[in-house]
Formats: sequence, structure tokens, C-alpha cells
Amino acid sequence: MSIFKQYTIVLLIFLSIFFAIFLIVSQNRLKEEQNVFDSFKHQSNTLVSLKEKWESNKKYKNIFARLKAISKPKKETLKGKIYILDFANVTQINLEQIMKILFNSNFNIKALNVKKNNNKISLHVEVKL
Amino acid sequence: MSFFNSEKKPIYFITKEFKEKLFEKSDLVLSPEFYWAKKTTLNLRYAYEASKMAASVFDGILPAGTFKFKVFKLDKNEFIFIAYDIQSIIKELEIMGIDMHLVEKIYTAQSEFMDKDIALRINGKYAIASSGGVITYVPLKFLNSSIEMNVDDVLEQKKLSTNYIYSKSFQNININSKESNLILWLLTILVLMLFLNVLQTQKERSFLVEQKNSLVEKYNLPKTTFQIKSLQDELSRIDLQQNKLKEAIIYIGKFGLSEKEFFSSLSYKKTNLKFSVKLDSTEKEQKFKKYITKKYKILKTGRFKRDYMVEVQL
Repeated sequence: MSIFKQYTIVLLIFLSIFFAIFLIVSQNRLKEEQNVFDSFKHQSNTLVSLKEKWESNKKYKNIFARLKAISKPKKETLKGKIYILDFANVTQINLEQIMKILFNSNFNIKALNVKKNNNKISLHVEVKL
Repeated sequence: MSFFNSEKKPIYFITKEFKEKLFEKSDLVLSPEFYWAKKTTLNLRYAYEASKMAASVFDGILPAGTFKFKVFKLDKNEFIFIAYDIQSIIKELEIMGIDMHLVEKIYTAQSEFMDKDIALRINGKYAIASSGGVITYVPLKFLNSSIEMNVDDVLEQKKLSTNYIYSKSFQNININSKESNLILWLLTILVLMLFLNVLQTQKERSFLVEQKNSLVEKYNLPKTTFQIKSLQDELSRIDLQQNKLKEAIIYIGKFGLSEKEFFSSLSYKKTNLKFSVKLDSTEKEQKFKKYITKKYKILKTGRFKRDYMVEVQL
């Protein structure tokens, strides 16, 4: 066997070992990265659904319009990201309708206050937008 | 006759009259007595092309044996061929008393002194001399001029070439050309396959990064898992709190009230739910309290006029 062939074989063996080690290391890293990505994807999916549920501002206008259609609020205020609605003289039926909408709309209710005084019901609700 | 090169390994010039013993790992340079050399003019450019014709160059000259060849380009179209039977050489060296376990590499005088157009004295009787590029082993008396330089002195300073004809490292590799070509091909395929696999793996890693970036971009997500976890915890807390509020109102609303009984107020802030209810009797109040305690921790109870007030923690 010629010297050239001997050196070539030695070089190829060296390259084989080098690439084999590099491949093993790369595949291990890929496995780790795949696990990290799967976890990231899972967390992202959960986060996306939670964001959709609790941070979707698009739905608010429509829902507030529905609430206002049931009973005209005495006062409505926007303090930073908190939207405050004050109703006075709400009937029992209207109160139930308003509460149903509030609880089915995934609003982040920061404060809720209902008072019944001589058949007059007042409602104060603070929603974080 | 031992000398040290830069790595302090002794180099011995070997003639058939060599009588010394080796005591440490050494390299040997063979005198022309051990191989055949022939200078030929061929219309070829490279030595590797000429090497294909080596067997025919020595056709009818060599005795029976397993010969190997080496080719050195001397000048344009001029090549020097050498033929050697390494097994015979090893046998001969062993007969001469050389311990082959201590021999690292064997070179020929042709490969090591080809460039020197000079004569070198070996001992009192013989010398090696270049005859048109071919290194020959000649009696001193055949040479006209007196030779000052000794082969050992030259070897002391010399760095040997890579044109060895024997290496201890490759001693056990006894394979023919077809087998060595097969090994070369297999190794080349193996290296290529490994390289392609490495590329594929790197591509998959890049794809993961791309997928992650596209997810981040599409849903406007924070870039790190830590930030995602923090935001997710915050939203989960809201989700849990709002569900608790709904459940609490539904649960409290399910308590059986008579026609005259009713809730007069309800107040929710942070994690506390406070409500007051008008109830007919103290027994009913106790019943109501028991009902609430089943599911919630009561923080405070009290009475305002006829209203029974309860504050619970969600």
C-alpha cells in the first residue's frame, strides 16, 4: 500500500471519528433543543389560549354595547386600563341578564358591587381591559 | 554509526557489512545493495503516472520475489524507479542481527540522497555516489577524487523524507491494492454519510429555531420560556380567580331562600367576597353559615340592621 494511500486512510479515519463525535454531539443537542421547543410550544399554546380568553380587547366594545342595551348606566369611566360601569335602578331581571353576560364574557372583573335598597338595585362593576 | 535527528532518534546507514546492534528505536537508510534502481526516460509528466509502468521497467531484471516499486522524478521526463522486496530485506536484516522490533522506518539511499550530486564515504573501502541521479554503492578506489564527507555526518544533520519503504506503524497492514482501494472507498462513503448526517442535524436545529421564531412572531409572544412562564402564571391566576368568583356566586345563589328572604348586597374585591342577606330566623342564619363553611373560609360574619353579613375568602 502506498504512503499516499496510508495517509489518506489515516485522514479518512480521523475525519470519520471527528464527524461521528460531532454528529453524536449535534444529535444530543438537537434532542435537548427539541424537548425545549416542545415545552415552549406547549407553554405557548396555553399562553395563546389564555391571552385569547383574558386579553382579547376586540370583544369588549360589543359586550359593553350589549350591557348598555339592557340598562343604561348612570356613569361609565375609563381609568387607565380599568373600565368602570355604574348602574342605578336596575331591575332584578336586568341584573340577572347583566351578571350572565359579565360571567360568560371572560371579563377580568376587578371589583363588583351590588346593592338592593327598597327594590332599587345599584350595580358597580370594574373590568380590567 | 548512530546519529540523532531533531527528534533524537538514531539513524543508521545499513550496508550488508553492518555489524552493530540496535539498543533503541531507530530509523534505517538502506544502501543500494538492498534494492534495484533504474533510470528511465518516459514521456510522462508526473511520478504517479510513471508508477503504473514500474513493473514493466524492471521486466526480466528482477529475481523471483514479491516486489514493490517507488518512482522519483529526476528531471523533465526522467524518472528513477526502485524495486524492493521488503520481506527479503527484513529477513536479511534479521540475519544480520538487527532487532526489527526497534526499527521504526526503513528508507532507501535513493530517496534520501537523490538530490545530492556528491559522493559520500561509508567506511574505508566503500562509498555511495550519484551517477546521473542514481545512487550507487561503489568501492572507494573506483572514485577519482578523494571523498571528504562521511555518510554518517550527513545523516546526523539530515531530516529524512516521507518516502520510507517500511513503517512499523503499518507493519501489520498487509493488504493489496484492490483491498486498499475498497477501504478507501468505504471510508470515503462513511465520511460522506456522516457529513451529510451532520448537515441534516444542523438543518433540523435551524428549523427548530425558525419554528420558534415564527411562533413568537405569529402570536406576539415573549422570546424566553421564563417570560412566557411568568405571563402564563399571571393569566392562569386571573383565570383561576374569575372562575372562583363565578363558582362562589353560583354556589351562594343556590342556597334555598323563602319568598321573603333575599340577598341585599354583594361586594367583590381582590380575593374577598362579601354579601348580606335578609333571613327569617337565626336558625336559618346558622344553616346559611354552615352551608357557606362547607366550601369557603369565612373571614367575618356580622349583622347590619336585619341583614346577616358574611365575608369569605375565595
